[in-house]
Amino acid sequence: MPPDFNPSYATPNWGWWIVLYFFFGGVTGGVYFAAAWLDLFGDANDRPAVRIGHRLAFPLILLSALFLIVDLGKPDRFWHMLFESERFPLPMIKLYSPMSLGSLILFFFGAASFLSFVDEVFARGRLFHAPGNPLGKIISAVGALAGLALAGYTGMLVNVTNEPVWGNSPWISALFLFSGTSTGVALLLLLARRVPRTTFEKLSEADGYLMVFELITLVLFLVTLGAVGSRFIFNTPVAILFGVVLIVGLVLPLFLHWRPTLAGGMRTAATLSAVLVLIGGFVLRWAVLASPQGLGL
Amino acid sequence: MKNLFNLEVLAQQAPQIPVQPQVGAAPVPGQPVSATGTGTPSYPVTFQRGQPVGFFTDTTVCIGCKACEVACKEWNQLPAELDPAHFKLSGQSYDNTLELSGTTFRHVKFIEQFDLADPNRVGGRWLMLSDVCKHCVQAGCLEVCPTGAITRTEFDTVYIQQDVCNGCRYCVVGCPFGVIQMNEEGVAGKCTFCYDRLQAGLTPACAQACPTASIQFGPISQLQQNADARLATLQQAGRTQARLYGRDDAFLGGLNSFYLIEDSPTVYGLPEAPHLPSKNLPASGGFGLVAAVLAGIAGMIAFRKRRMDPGEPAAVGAPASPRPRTSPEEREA
Repeated sequence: MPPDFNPSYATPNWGWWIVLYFFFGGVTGGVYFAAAWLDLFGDANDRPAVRIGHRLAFPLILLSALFLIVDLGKPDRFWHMLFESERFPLPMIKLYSPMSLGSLILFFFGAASFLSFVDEVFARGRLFHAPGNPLGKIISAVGALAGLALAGYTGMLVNVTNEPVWGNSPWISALFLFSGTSTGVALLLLLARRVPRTTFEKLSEADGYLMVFELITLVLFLVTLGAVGSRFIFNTPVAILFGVVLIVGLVLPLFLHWRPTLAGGMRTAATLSAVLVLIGGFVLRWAVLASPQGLGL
Repeated sequence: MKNLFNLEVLAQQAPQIPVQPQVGAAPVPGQPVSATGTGTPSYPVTFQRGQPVGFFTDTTVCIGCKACEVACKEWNQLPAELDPAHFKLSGQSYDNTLELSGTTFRHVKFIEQFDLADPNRVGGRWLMLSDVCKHCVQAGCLEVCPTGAITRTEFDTVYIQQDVCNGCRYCVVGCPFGVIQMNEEGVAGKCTFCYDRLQAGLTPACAQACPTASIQFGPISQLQQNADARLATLQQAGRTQARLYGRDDAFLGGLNSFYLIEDSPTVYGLPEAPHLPSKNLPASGGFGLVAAVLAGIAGMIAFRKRRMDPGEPAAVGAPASPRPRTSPEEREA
């Protein structure tokens, strides 16, 4: 082993629940970010996509949180991450602990997505998000920033450890952020079948940019792993998973963006590309979590 | 027969054992308390609340008896390793737990340095090290714990509050030494530094039981003096490989459980340069922030307002008239 290898590292047994949490957390953050950004910077034609995002984000964050809670050794104590258990209701905040920061992000994201969800389901978007209502814009802005943070903080969480691979490259937070937002936009693309073509094109264009950023950060992540991290990836079957992320999750979708006629048209290409992006996003979380723990997690 | 399992009757019939005298004075907050025991040096150990205490483990006098493991298990009422995930036997060593776990807070490592090609085993040696939580002055586990379950005590030791921990396992990857593991109750477990004994002015069970004073307990300043003296003695005797690990603040602000070892740390399974997990925080957070800004700009560019042709259909998929922005198909054409 290389000299900077820590021989006494322990694995946390973060298994499939955490893979699912990381994946759905990224998707959820990305969905709300896209919807909110369309709300803030788009036009009236984008309203249908915004409304789909508002309907999706809150149920998805509940599902993500469920995965996180189920994985805890003591699920009934999940609230200890939000409040000081011995001095309730004082909030439990440790900004230098990414997991504590994540609880704060989940709180803000949950609040914003809840308000948007209630507005959409019970008032068809006319309560907060009615045109000209500044409150809706504030909710969108807070939710979008929290969504970006939600997509990226899981990468920072694994980086701020002493674990091989996870702690070896700081690019992992950027990688997760681009992947999360990309998968969120991809999900919105898949579900936005009745939106105006311009909105569809906007989402497709955004996903293209995000995929290019993700591809660059994936390469940066892999080349900055150092001797220890590289050994844990390239000397193990985990390398195959990263290959799947690279080819299936990034190169093929980008190729479809570039040559949509090969898939039978722009709509089919964008749909197929979105499916591949979602697969790549899931496999990326699996690959990263499996690197020090093994494929079976 | 009917009284066979009557504990009261049995207690009356049992021979009377004199009550063991209290070791050390009853502690008074702010006042020094003393502790003595077979494992500690011949002088009484005096410490007080607010004063850092620790272990100095001199591995050169460890005989691998595992009295520390047993004493720890007994005092802390820790179960045997029955969990198949942790019940391990190497089959080739006297090491029978192989690692620390959520219910094994002490583990005597057996490092066997023998040349198997040499039938006479000339020059071979055993290195033994009683491993335990290092109670780092800057503790990675304490730093990342999101619930506040891991605290620093008035003795400068690191303690996990079992009733607060929710089993997130972040401390497992925050610890640079791989010390913390989950116990059967689903919460994190590690050496408590016998916090209950310290409060009563007693030596931790492992140090009390150690028959060779390999595990020494006391105020850190006293232990550092002991360690320096012992190191000087060994080096004068020609044992130049001897070195102290974690004695000073070269990493993690120093270890409250530090070691005298006779080979490189990695031989003992210790990292050469352990660091806090937060070392990665600025770069990771910075790159994340840059990525968020880039994602935001990409979204702003992609979602910018664009003119829609009057003949534009409302939904995707329907035949469309020429659009102001050419679609990819059109670009292809």
